[in-house]
Order: sequence, then C-alpha cells, then structure tokens
Amino acid sequence: MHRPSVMRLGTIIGLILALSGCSTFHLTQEPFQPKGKKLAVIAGMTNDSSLRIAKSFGDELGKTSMFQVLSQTQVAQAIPNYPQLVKGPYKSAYFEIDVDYAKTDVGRVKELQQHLGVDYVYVLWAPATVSHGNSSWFSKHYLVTQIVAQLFESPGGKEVGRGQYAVRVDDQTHQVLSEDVRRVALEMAEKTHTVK
Amino acid sequence: MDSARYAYAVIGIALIVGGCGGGGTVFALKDPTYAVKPTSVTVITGGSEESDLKLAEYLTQELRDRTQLNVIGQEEVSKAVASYPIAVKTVEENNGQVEWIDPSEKPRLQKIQSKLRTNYVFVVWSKRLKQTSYCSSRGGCSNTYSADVFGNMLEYPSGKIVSHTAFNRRNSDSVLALFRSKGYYVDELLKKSAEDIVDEFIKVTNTGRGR
Repeated sequence: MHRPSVMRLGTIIGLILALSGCSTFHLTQEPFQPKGKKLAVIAGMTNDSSLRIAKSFGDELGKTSMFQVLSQTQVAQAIPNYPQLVKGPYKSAYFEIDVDYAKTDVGRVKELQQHLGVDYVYVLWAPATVSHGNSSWFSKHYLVTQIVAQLFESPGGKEVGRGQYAVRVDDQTHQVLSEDVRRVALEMAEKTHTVK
Repeated sequence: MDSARYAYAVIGIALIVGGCGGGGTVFALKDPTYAVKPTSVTVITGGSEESDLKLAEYLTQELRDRTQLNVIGQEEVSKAVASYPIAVKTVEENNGQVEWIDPSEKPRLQKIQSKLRTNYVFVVWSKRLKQTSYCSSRGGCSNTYSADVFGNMLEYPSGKIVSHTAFNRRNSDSVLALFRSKGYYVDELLKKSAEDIVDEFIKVTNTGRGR
C-alpha cells in the first residue's frame, strides 16, 4: 500500500476509535451516588463549537438521564456574561488535546457554580475542530470536534468525573451529530446510575 | 471571489515572493510617517480558538519583554472583559486595503479599550491552522504545520487603524517529534510569529528597550 494511504488509514482508524470504541466518561470518585438531580452543562470556552456541543449534550443528557438539566438559556441568565473562558484541562489543543486535568481553573468553576444553584456542573471544552479528507460519492465528509470535560459536584467544586471524546460535525450545516452526543450522554448516565 | 479565496491568493503570492518560510507583511504602519508613541498597548485576540489565544499570549509576552510600551496582560484583559475572548469579525477582501477589522466591530473594540485604557489595541488572529503530512518512499513521515496570521493595531481615542499584519508561517517537525509534546511544533510556530511581529514592530516604531 502507498504510504500516504497507510497514513490516512491510520487517521481513520484513530478517528473510529475516538468516535466509537473508547470510554467517553469515567468517575473519579467511586462509589458514586448522585446527591441531587439538578445539573448544568457549561461551555468552558467562548467559541461556537463549545457552545453548540454544550447545548446538544445538555439536551441529550436531559432525555437519557434522570438529571434535570438546565437549558443553555437558563445558564446564560444565571451566569453574568456567559460564556466565559475557564482555563481548561490541557497543555495544548491544536489538532488533538494534550490533556492535563491538573490545569483546570477550579477556582473559576466554583465561582460559576455559585450562580447556578445546581448539584452538578459538567464543564466542557471543545478547543479543536479538524477536517480529515474530503467527501466522495460513497462517503460524507464530517469535521471532528475534540472535547474534554469534567463533572464537578456543587457546592465545593469536587471533581467526580471526567472524559475525553470526539464528535462529528456536519461540514455544511455545522450541526453536531446527535447520535455521537447521545452515546456520550448515555455513557455518563449509566456510570452515574441515572439512566431513565 | 469570496474572501477565503482572496486571502489564499494573497498568501499564495506572498509565499512565492517571500520564499518557503512563509511571507507577507509581518508588521507595517498604514501611514509610514505615523509615529507610534511608547505608551501602552493591549493585545486582543480576534478569534476564540486555542491558536488565537496562544498567539495573543505570546505577542503580549514579546511586546512586554522587548518594547518600552506598557503592555496589559491577557489575564487582566480576561478580568476586565468578562466575555473575552470575543470573535472579532474580519474583512479579508478589501480592495487592496489592509484593515482586517470589520467596521461593525469598532464600537465593541472601543468598549473594550474604555475598560483597559491603553493608547493602542492590537488585534491578532491565527487563521487556517493546517497540518500536512508527508511520507517518503524511503520510509519516515513528517508533518508541516501552517497558519495565516492577521493583525491590526488601533490608536485611541481616535479608534483609527494604524498598522497591518498578514503573513503565513510554517513549521515542520523532525525526528525529535517522538520526544516532543503534542502541540510543540504549533506552539513554536506561534511563538516565532509573535517574535517576528515584535522584531518588525521595534524596527518600524523605534520603541525597543535599550540594551
């Protein structure tokens, strides 16, 4: 096989793994018993990708779990000047995220939590959206957004879960693929024992 | 011709003229007779992607270390402007003009400036960050990263654009890539871009720190 083809194949395999095979959420505090049902999803960045995925993930989590998820409108009403930049858990995030969970500005997360009055805050960062290849007659071209997220308990800001994953975004409409987000929401609901 | 194609064309020509390391205008005054006062400046990122934020950070650091201007830090900007970073709309096709800031954004920038109270606001963007991979027939692969860097500096209280920046920068990895962190080569590219802007800034404005 020609080498660039090998490389493209490697990229595709990596993408398939990122999109389907790997865990998208795991608990950092076990055993876990939810202390309450109210949850807010917050974008830790001000870019469109983070906001779009925060909305989509919140909607899906509301459908698949017993969490009562605040809408993005409610989040924006509760937090002055939302969205705001919260330093995220990574060293760099250009084409892929170099994760370092110690880098999160937990102080800022706690400040935001105070406005929300919820039991849990799921903060996500979508710093990189990349394009792989082109559309053909047989395949549709998707952009892939890389995401890293942390689940914090309120009040106190103790981290109880985290995850890293990728979701596909329609090249033309820029809509996040709901099936990708649903899979992530379902895994979180399963692991937090809150599946509907 | 849409703005993206126009920008590609401009950058393509700049590459041919400027050689393989990238090309274009690193920093130039719109009016060459204008004198930049060694007072104060805030760097604002015009985009909200990771590469935009890093470029603004590096440019802030370079200006602070090497010029006489009082430079406001990115953390201070973040504190003063709650929704920072904001995406500042650009006009990349402008009939040969070099004002990348969309005129509709000027009131927003004015508002930011009024909070930071610096004489200059330097808006920078890192656009079209791209990774190109190449594998040779003799084995071994390499990656080349490239980005288009745009910038405009505004003077206050007039709010006039006094400088322009538009260039492409590239950086390739090496065998050492195995031992480097994931974003190392893009970080290097952005750092080098900031260094180059400040090299030219000092030459053009004569505001370098004396040795």
